[in-house]
Amino acid sequence: MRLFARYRELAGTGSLELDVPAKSTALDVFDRVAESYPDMRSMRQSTLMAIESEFVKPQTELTDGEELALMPPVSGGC
Amino acid sequence: MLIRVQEQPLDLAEAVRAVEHPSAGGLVTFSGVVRDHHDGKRVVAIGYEAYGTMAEAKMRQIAEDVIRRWPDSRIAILHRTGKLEIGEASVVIAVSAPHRAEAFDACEYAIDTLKQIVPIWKKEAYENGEVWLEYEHRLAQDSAR
Repeated sequence: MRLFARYRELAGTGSLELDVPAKSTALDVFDRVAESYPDMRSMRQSTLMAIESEFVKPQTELTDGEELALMPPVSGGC
Repeated sequence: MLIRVQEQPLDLAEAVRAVEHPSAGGLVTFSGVVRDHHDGKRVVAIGYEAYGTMAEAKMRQIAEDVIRRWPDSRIAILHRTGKLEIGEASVVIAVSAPHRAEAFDACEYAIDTLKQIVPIWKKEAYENGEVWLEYEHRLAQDSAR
């Protein structure tokens, strides 16, 4: 999985490999990662999630080998 | 269509060249530039981080939307990453269309949509610290819920 911006800083890395149970959702993975970081837990409602570079709903189930990205709200442009 | 996320300084002329066309009567450009202040604080630099492959995919999606909505338009979108100084461009957009009204509208649509859906984040550096924008704002909101 990939972590960006503040989440990358909190985790100390931009990419992690995780073994998760079958039928885990993007939100399940978020909750697991956020266990370690209280600031991330507070961002549960605002976090953007993408699987294989497409935005997904938090309830979306992952399938084998997919890349999940957890992202704070975007702030690009100017 | 020219779409790119890059660390090197942006070249507005490159974006313009990519959309020039004999049938284009209007050519509008937009440059987003690092500003020296935000919320009353003095900004000294901004760092941009992107989810590169997804950012380019989303920028391409915006460009395809533009071409669909404004027939015969052409568009270039370049976004920079890394540490930028005051006055440097973080994003440049060029749009050409048969008439000026379409070119203005399409360019505004492109930058507004980019700010909403393209996975890029900015971290402002002040004289006494740094802040991830939007993140800090939402963190305060969500913690209060």
